[in-house]
Amino acid sequence: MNKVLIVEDEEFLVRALKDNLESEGCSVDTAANGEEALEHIKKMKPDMILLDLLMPKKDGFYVLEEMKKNSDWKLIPVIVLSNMGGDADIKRALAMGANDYFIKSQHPIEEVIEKIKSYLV
Amino acid sequence: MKTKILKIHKYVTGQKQTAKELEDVRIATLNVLDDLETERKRLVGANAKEKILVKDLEKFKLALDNVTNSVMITDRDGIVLYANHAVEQITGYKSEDVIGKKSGVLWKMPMPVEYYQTLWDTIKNQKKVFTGEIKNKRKNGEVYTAAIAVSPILDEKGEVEFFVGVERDITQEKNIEKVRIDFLTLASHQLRTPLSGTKWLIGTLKRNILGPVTEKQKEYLDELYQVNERMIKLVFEMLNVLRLESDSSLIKKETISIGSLYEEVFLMMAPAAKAKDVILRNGLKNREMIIKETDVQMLASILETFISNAINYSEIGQEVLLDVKEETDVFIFSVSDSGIAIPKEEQKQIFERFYRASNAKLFKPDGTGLGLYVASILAEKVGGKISFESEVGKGTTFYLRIPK
Repeated sequence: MNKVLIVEDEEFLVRALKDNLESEGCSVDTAANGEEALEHIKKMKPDMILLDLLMPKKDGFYVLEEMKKNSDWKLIPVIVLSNMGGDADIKRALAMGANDYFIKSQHPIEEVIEKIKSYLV
Repeated sequence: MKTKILKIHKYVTGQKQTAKELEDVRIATLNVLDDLETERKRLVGANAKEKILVKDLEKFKLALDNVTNSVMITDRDGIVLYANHAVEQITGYKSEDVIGKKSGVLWKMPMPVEYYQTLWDTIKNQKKVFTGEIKNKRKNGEVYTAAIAVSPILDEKGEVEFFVGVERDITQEKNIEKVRIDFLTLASHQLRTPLSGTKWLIGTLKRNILGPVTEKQKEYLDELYQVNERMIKLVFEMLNVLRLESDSSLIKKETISIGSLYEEVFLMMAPAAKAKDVILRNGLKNREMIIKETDVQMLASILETFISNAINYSEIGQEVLLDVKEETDVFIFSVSDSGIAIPKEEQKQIFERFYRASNAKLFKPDGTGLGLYVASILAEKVGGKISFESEVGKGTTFYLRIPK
């Protein structure tokens, strides 16, 4: 069973992602900020990570930075799901190792789920 | 002469001065200097009038001393000959610290070397006025931003005799601009988050993974989804308008061939045309005409608005044609459709913010009324012009003229 870690501070977005992924047969774990995310990565070794950028305590960029430093973690695919739509944010996240970047309000949930599945095959 | 000085006073005591006013002050200052020279010549040899001249000169100096923009006069090598009180207020240097020194050295020259090269080339070699924005350092090390205008003053032979520089501190305005942009960025994020929540929650319900949904419930969910989509689009376009209306959005200077520009726009819009069963025709494949120094993103965005409107207001099976014409000084892009057209009596309002033609509202209820408004702002930014021809029963053609 594929393990997906959702890092997102908005409860309703976590819920939508979780229900969809579970219906696809994934096991889902959630973290509400960057600090929690790193603890979960350490413990559960996820197959993939969905990462929000703007979060309390440590943000998504911090998570990307920490993941890059660890040789095991840097191979885990990361899809950034953020509502920050500036070119600079997108470029920065991709340069820091994110595999994909979705502006949440621009993409239907099924498109996001399809993308996630493509990384889990 | 008195009126001119009064004019300087009037212009410079106001707090909210625009670049235009700055230019006026500069011109007024130059006029005063000119007049002084004329006065001096007229009075040479006229000893009786010398006292009046001295008195007049004192008045002029007093006026210039107290102008709220900084005014400096330098010799042809940039050595400061005169600095008014505002120089001290802006930079922290007293006039005795400044006079006799080279102006650039005083402000530590934090700009790139090329900036100063252009400045000197303009005023010394081309003997033209230089205007621009500059960052300088105050005496306490703080960097400030200023709008400057430097003019060369020429002698009878047309050689540079000295320079006059007028400077206005615009640091505060720049800071306000930054706060505005930061606010827009945050607002756009905060507005999108709940909207994306609604989008994904309804989307999940529609996927039936939480149990079956009745036909009637599905209709409601589809409706809800569309309402939310409309809101997302509106938020996106309104923030876009706010961003464009503030002058901060930088205009890029790129080169692109018209063929590849149209190709890009065509690919972008093809899915929308297919969804609506409208035939999109690209009338200029492999054309090698080149547009220089333009903002490709802005240009593409204008054309996409034209095409998107043409698709939206066409019937199934109708055609939308993209074309371009080249004239001596301009390229004229065009997008034609045989759709519902814009009623004659409403054509004047079509570029207004939020305005939608009465037949457009009926034909497609969920438009935002911002597309053409944004396109017209963008056209202005890239130095282009938008126009259109439209006749009910025949269709519409939108044109974008871009200077070569």
